[in-house]
Amino acid sequence: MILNTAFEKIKECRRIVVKVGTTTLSYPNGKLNFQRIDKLAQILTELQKSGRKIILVSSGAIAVGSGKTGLKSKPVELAEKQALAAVGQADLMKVYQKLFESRNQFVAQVLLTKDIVTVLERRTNASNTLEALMSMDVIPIINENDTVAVDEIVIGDNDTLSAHVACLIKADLLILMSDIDGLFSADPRVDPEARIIPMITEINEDIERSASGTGSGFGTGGMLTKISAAKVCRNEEIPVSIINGINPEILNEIIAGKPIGTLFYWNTHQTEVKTD
Amino acid sequence: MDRVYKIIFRIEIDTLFDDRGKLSLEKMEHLVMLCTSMQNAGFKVLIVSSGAIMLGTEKMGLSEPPEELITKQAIAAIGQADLIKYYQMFFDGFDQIVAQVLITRDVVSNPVRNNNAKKTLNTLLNKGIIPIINENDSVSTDDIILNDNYPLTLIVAQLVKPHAIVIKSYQENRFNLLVRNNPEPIEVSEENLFNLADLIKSGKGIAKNINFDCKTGKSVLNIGAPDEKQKAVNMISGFPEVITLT
Repeated sequence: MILNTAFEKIKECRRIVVKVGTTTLSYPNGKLNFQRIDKLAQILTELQKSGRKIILVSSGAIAVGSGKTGLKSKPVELAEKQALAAVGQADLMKVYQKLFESRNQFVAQVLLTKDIVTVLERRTNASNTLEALMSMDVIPIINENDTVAVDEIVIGDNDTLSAHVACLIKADLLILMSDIDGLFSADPRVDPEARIIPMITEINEDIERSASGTGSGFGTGGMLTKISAAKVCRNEEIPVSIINGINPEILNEIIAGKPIGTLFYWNTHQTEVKTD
Repeated sequence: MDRVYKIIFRIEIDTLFDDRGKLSLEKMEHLVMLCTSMQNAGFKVLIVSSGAIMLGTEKMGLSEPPEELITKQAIAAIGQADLIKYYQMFFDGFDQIVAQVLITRDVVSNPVRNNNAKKTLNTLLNKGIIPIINENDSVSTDDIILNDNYPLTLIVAQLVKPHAIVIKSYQENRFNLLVRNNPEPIEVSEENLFNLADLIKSGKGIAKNINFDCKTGKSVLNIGAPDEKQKAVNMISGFPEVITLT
């Protein structure tokens, strides 16, 4: 498929899951970047008002909790992380609520665990809740329920969670925002020839190797969790866009069909995109 | 206080909302003041709070909580964010850090979840943070169907093994207490809440010192299955005598 055609198709996406990582939401010292979150809230509200349905998957609770309790470094122990997540999640929601509601956009907090994938009842409940919120024109803000889950709390796992959410609500697009510009052909820190791969239609060994090569220096989750998110979405033929969240304006450009970052667009993807 | 006592405050709708179903900021602030004060006195306070659906209902401009389950779950997701925001706002005013903990009922049956929830709650308590607990309605329907989180209080009790559970009485400034090792609920005034340590320590002797009226058990009984009170009593009195927090 021609690159531009795939990006053009993105214009028609109606149901969009946007995942933001901790590095997008906070400064390196762990404190919240309100200016950027404000921008994000503005753009997501505009997209919602344009008739699209936005679902936000947000990390950041542990960072906020660390800041609030005066912790200087990242917590190591699991129970500690979970406790800080419980403190920070409340604060993070408060910030989102403030910034969205000042634009007359209601939001809701939905905390999920991975059993939305494995347990039918949980899956149905989560799906029902999200559908009901979307029909009320409320933007659901999703995070892992860190308090009871262990398998979800590994760094970067919100990538995978957002992919499952995208499948759950049959999204037209998943956008992963982090501190990397996209998937590189090689590690740009060491290889001057490294360039962003604009479109990927198939996850083959080459891609997996590029992803593992770029490793942990890139954001909290790294490229590997983004690849596993893409694999989850491939099953439902949902395109996945990887962009840098440093400037939330990029969201508008992606949705305007501009080729930015890396787009996973599946070979089998049907030409028509469903509408609400 | 020579020992640390864990106290669960069970907050029902009428503790927070006025007759017209609006959140009473005055009631909430008073409650928050009381909880922080008990925390400052050396107790480890946990809050199990209703109110998410009520707040979501108000926010979405509905005249009463929706009947339909799915809508209720969505409304709960909207209202939960507000509920915790209000708690946080008032607790901030008293310099008390709080945490939001949403649990599902499988913390009872799933050993991994059980262990995690226990650890999280105890870590929060050790840090002097008050956990505010509710059921995770978006993925679980149990409490919504029961229309109350009184059973959730029992689950939390099972996790943290509190020394007492405090439930607001229907009477102004009165509280019902379920104290460990004491088979009957006790009704006390707000001031006497602070003597809770003595009540707990003195064990079974306390009942005779308190003018206990069976009718005051009503707010314990007015929801859930008829045997809920007995279950609560069993759960409280069944706890091991000594629990120490490190």
